Order: sequence, then structure tokens, then C-alpha cells
Amino acid sequence: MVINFVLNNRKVQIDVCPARRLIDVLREDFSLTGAKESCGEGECGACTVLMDGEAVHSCMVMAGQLEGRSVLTVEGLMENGEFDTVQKAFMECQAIHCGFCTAGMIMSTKALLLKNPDPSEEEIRIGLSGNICRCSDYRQLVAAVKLAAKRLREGGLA
Amino acid sequence: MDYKYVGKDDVLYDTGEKAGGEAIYACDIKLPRMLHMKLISSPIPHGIVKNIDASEALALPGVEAVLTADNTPQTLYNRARVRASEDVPDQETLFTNHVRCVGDRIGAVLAETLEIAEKAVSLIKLEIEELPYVTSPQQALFSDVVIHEKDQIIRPEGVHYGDYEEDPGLELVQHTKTSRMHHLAMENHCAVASYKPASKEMEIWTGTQSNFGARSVVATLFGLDMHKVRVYKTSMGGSFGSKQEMILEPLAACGSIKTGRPVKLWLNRHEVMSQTICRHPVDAVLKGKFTPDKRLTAIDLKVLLDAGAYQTVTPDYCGSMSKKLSWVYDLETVEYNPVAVCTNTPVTGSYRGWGGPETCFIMETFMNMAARRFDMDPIELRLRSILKPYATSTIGNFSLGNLPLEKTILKGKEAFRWDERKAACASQDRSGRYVKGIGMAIATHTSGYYPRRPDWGTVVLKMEEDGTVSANLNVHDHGCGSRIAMKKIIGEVLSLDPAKIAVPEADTLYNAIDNGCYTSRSVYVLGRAVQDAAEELKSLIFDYAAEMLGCEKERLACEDECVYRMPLRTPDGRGVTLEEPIRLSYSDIAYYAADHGQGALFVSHTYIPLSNPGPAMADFAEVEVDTYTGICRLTDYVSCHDIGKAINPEICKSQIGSGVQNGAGMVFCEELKIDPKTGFYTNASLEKYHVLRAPELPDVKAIFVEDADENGPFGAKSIGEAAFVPVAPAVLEAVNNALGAEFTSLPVTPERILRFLNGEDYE
Repeated sequence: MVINFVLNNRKVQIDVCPARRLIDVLREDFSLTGAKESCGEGECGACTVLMDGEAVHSCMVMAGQLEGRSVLTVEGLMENGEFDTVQKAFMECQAIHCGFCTAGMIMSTKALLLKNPDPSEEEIRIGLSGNICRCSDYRQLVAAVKLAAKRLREGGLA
Repeated sequence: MDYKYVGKDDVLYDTGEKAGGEAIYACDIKLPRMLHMKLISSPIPHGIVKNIDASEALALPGVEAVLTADNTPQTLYNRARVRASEDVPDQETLFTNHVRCVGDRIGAVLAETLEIAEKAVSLIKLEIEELPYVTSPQQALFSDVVIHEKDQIIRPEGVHYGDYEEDPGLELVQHTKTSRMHHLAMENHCAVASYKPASKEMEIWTGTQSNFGARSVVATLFGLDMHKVRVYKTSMGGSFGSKQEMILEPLAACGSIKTGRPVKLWLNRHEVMSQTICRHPVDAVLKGKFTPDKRLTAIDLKVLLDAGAYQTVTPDYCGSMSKKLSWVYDLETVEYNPVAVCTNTPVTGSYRGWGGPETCFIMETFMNMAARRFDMDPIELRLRSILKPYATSTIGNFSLGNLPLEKTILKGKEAFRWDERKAACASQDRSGRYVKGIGMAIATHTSGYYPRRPDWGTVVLKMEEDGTVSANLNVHDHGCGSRIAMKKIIGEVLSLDPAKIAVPEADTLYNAIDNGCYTSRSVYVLGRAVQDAAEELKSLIFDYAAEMLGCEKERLACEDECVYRMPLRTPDGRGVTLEEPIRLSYSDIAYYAADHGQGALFVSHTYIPLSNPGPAMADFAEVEVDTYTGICRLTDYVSCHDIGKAINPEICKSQIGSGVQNGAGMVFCEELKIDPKTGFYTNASLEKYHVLRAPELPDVKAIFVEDADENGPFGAKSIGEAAFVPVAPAVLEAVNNALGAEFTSLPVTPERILRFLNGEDYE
């Protein structure tokens, strides 16, 4: 099945089995290995990407659902060699440890802040509840989301 | 002491490659002609494979080969052997016809894609004769079931000093149980192996804790020359001990040798849970004796460890538990008798803390019970029995270093407001839905191997022409910043921005042999080796600078990536001469060395540690129990940690936070449950294996005691495993304190709490 969609702001076309998982399309077909597979059942969030601005588990989305949609992965965040606001906040708050959850966490944060630019601590913790980090108590991650939210509000950019 | 880089958080942690999705983990590697491997696993807990019909699988387009016990080496090995000279029980083969647990490896399919390999595995017809099986060590001790001809039950030597029976003290007894747990490193295990038949060279990419261990197992099993086996440690998505055993590397290597093509073996979460390793369930009976003034003087501990289907590290684990018995309390008598038993259940093995958390859970749950029996404050009870600074470990006979146990306990107590909270908990209204409780526990841990086995750290440092520095050492970063710690240590010595220092991951081709990232030794041993090497490099740089500036070497100092000739003091020592200070950049010196000297600014150094300080820890937990649902919530947590010096403070705090997540999970929910009818897990998926997530954790307060150790780099001791050690007993005591209960086995699930509240049997 031929599918047209937008991947990291570029139009792409693939000929693929509609039941192929988005995570495999990204990692295998496009060699975008930033999104990671960990649980394979939508529980851990490591494979989170944005689809039309919504956070989705790419292990739970099928290629057949991609027609006409826009998918954004962590590789699509940098512009002109510069990290985006959320990536910078994650680095500055030392919220990146083993790094395996990082891409998913960053994309979940993007989605959260698109919906709620000024989340409370509780809202942030709930917002990250679909993403597992085993390297911390989430403290640095919560701080990073807060910092990113503040900067995005000040800069007026999402 | 204040440093420029060490202990500073404003030095940006170099995580850009992870933030950008560029970091390469083993699972991201794709090589030309690479095959994918899928394991054929036993569906039953015990049996003999009589026939494997792989004809349909082999007929499937894209299938390259099917490996079984009949066409692969049947050499017995131990997946945990780091060097071939190590004496550990050999029970495992690559693939087996005698399957000993659900998930045991019968064979593997190699195919062009993982999908084809999975499809092929489903087409394989197995004929297996079922054998009787045992699923618990208690059952196994009294059973005729033969899992292994040799070493099915091992009774390691244990510890025996003093005469427990002769001690006249007041005796208390407690039975505790910890459960089987999953590490849940976010990265599932993966190894990629590439064997080139013409040159007989093997390359392996793996997120391992010991690439020399991986090399040793692979080279020994397949008769390869070690210099032709190159193991690269890739970025690692967490380990917590799960990647310190050589589980996948020999399998992928076997597939590559058999096919002459690169092979990737990447497990899914279910396979990691069932086919790698999990934490040992430990059944312990501790008897302890107290003097009339309530000082703990003697213990008698019997532990039973479930090794699962193969012994692997379990006997060694028993030994590791014993060491940790004499590092907290000043005990005159220790009687310790461990038993390691194989069962027809998935293999248990290395897990963060290596017996330390188990020993601590047993001892601290006992001390908390004793405090209740004696109607004493648990802190006061402990202060009577703890070791003093510079105490000698009776087991192993070595100094535990400055060991500020009392200071750590009191600092944590104050930060937690223990007395105030204790009073509040005691006087709370217990008729409402929620009740609160507090608990504490103390511990120590290792900072290296000394004196149990020889240890060392070998480092090569060189300065490039532009004044940047490259290091070569066998460091395995689990994602907890060991590489940035090394950079900060070098940067501090040379006054050089850590961003200008390269510390690559371990690579067997270039690194000197090393013991791997075990026993939380990286910073204490390798970090000190790096510090000494940096001092040597600085000395070499100064040699050239002295020549260039025509002055004594003693007049030189470095700052901000330059060497300065310091002004001479006036004869009265109070002023300086009017001579201008002269500055040379590192780059000037590097070019000078190349143009006029011996060429390279290059040093190699080996550091041999003769110390192993135990970092002291005191942890304090507050828990709220919902008496309607039985659900517990960790509402506050203080961890006071004697770290000597926190090289990366924020990352050390996250290590403590991670220990709390894992340890509180151990109390509330984390357990791989074995169904006795099948010998297999009922919850081998993240849908069913619950861990504490962002909304379920408080903001953990990590406090450091930074009394420098004499030998650690800038005074640092260990943290990685230590952070997990005291958590579970502190949290459990908070639950017991809230409910007035005495839970001693884990996990304390809502169902068990409701049973307690209903007056039913809850243990």
C-alpha cells in the first residue's frame, strides 16, 4: 500500500504493509532511530512521537493510519543546527541520563506544552505518566518541563 | 574545597547526542547483510527435547539458518565469567535439549528480517518429553528432580566468627522475604556480532558492563584469538546489573560464525523479563542478640537464594551478601550460612547492589522490629551499635575509611525532621481514611573490589596539538555520567574545559584489560587512575613549558588551559618581583613537544587501589496508606549519602532518585510472579509489571556528606548501587509504622494491606 505523509516537515511516500508499525517505519525504513522500542505495548513511552501535534506511541500506530498525517520525531526538532527549547531545557536541567527514554520524554513534553503552556507540577507529572524513566525520581524531568514551559511562554513559541 | 569543574552543576552535561536522538545504542546498529536472530524458547519448565522439526521454517523465504544444540558447540560455560581464569560453576550451553525453565534456549532462527525470523520460529515443531519440575527453592531442597547433575544445590562457605550460641544476649528472630524483580533498564538487551571467516575476526557491539568479559566468553567458547575479538561498548540504556552478564553476546557470535554474516539479537521486553535475569528471591531467617543496654553484638543468618534454572552468579552473590554483613554494625559474632538452589524457573542474577540491598533489607527490617520490641527510637537503637570511623571490616580485614555513619544519620534525621514527624504520626487521628507512617534504614556499600580480588585502573591520556585531551580507559557508562565524571576529573587537574576532553566508551582493542563496571568501582578506581594520569600529563606539559620559558618547573602553574610562570617572591616572601608573568597555551606546548621534543604529550598510568571505603547512608521515608484501598503512597523521602565528593551532584541526585523509585517499587509493587502450575511468570510485560511513575513519586531530597576519602578522586566514594541499598527497609518500616503492622515479606500489595486491616493473615 502506498502511503503519503509528512515526516519531520518533509513530504514522504512509502510502499508498505498497512499493518506495519510506525516504530518500524521510522527505525527500519527511514533509519530514524531516535524513537526507541522498549515495551512494545504502549506502556513505557520510549517510542513516543508527535502525530499532528498529538503524542502517540509509535509502537501502537499502524502505517495504514499515516495517510495525510504529519509525524514529528526527535530528529526533526533541531533547526539550523540549534536544539529546540525543550531539548535545551532537558540538557540544562540534567534530565538526560541513560538517554533511552529521552526522545519519548521530549516528544511527550512537546505535546503537553502544546496543549497546556503553563502546567502545574501535578499536571507535568501526570503528563509524563505514560513515559518511564528508570534513572531518576523524575525530578530533573519535571524541572526541565517547567523550564521549557517558561521559556516557551516568554518566547511565545510552541 | 571548591573546585572549578568537580562538584559543579553548571558544567553542561554532554547529552546533546541523546537529546538529538543521535546516540547509537546496540539496537540502532544496522550492518550490510545483517541477519536477525530470534530465539526458540522452551514452553515448559522442565523436559527433554526429543525432536525439532524445522523443515517448514527453513523453507520460508528469507530464513538463513536454524541453530540448535545439535549443530552448535555444547561447551558448558558460565555467562558471568569475566575472565577465563575465574572459578565459577559451568552449567549453561548456548542451546540445550535439556530445557530447565520456561524460556530456556532450545535454538534460534536467523533470517533476513525480524518478522521473518519470528514467523519461522512459530513454524518450528518441537517434541518435548516433560519432566517433573520444582518452582520454589524450598520445594527444590527436598525434591528428587534433577535439574543439573552437578551443583544443583550449592552451600557456599559462609562466614563464621565468634560463637553465636555462646553469646548470652537477648535474642530476637525474624523471617524476611524479598521478591523476584525485573531491572527494567529501558533499553532491552541487544548484541550485534560480525564474524569475518577469511580473517577470523569478530566484532561485537553491545551495551555491556564488561566488554572484556564479553570478549573472554566469546573467544573461549569459539576458540578465537582474543586480539581478533573486538567488543565495543555502545551507549547503554540503563543496566542496574542486568547487562553485566554475557547473555546475548555468545549467541549473536555463534549465529555470525555459523552464517558468516553479521547477526543482530535484540530481545523484546517479554524476552528480557523471562530470558535474561531477574533479582533473586531471598528467604532469610535472622537471629540476633542484644546486650542489656541494647547493643547488637551477634547475628546468625540463614539465607536461601533461588538461582533459577542455572546457578550463574548465585554462589558469588551469597558471598557478596556476607561481606556486607560486617560493614554497618560492630558485631562480635557472625554466623552466616547461605544456600543457592536451582529451580525450574527463569534465571536470577546480578542486580544493582549485589546482595547489599538484600542484606540491608534483612538487617534493617530486623533492627526496626527490635526498636519496636524494645520500645526504643530506631535511630537511638542504631547509634548504639554502629561502627565508628576507620573501623575495620571483620570480614576481609580492611579499613572501611572515614565511614561517617553517625554524622550521616544525624544529618538525615535533622533534614527529615524525624522527631517532629514521629510525634505527628504517633498522635495522628487513625479513624480517617489515610494514615501516615515514617521509617528509616542505614547502610554502607563498596567502592570497589579491594581486597576481595585484585583491582586496578589503567589509563592513557594524550594531549592533541590544539590543547584538547583524549583519554583511553575501559569505562562503561550506564547513562549515569561516568564519562563526564572522568572528564571533570581530568579537567580539574589540567584546568581544562571538560568539553575539550574526549572519554570514549570501552573498546577492547585499545583499552588495557579491566574488571568492568562492577561493584560501583568506576569513579573510585578508574576515576583515581584518571586523576593520577592527568597529574602525570600535567607534569610532562610542565617539563616542556619549563624548557620553553627557561625556568624551574616548580614555578609553573596552570589555569584556564594555559601554563603560567609565576612571578618570583621577594626575599622577604611578602611581595612579588616586577617580572611579568608569562603564559603559554597548551597548544603552544603541544606543538613545541612535536617540533622539538619527543613528539607526543602522552602518558599511561596504572593505579592499584589498596582501599575500599564504605559510603555511609541513612534514608528516611514517609508513607501515606489509604485504608480504603490499601494503596500506599510515598509522600516524602530524604536520603543522606556520604559520597566523599559528588563529582556530578545533580546526576548523583538522580541516582538516588532512581534508587528510591526502584526500592519503593520493591516494597509496593515490583514482583515477577511465578505461577507454580507453569513455572512461569504471570506478569512478564510492562502492562502487568508495575513500577512507580512520575505522579507516584515525591521530590526525593538527596543530601550529601562530603568528608573526602583519602584515596578517591577529589575524595569521591561510590553512589550507583549504594543509592538503592537502604530504600526498601526504610519504606517498609514507614508502612509498618503507619499501620502498626509487621510486614516482613515483599511486596506489600494493597491486597495484603487490606487483609491486615481486616484482621486476616497477611504474611
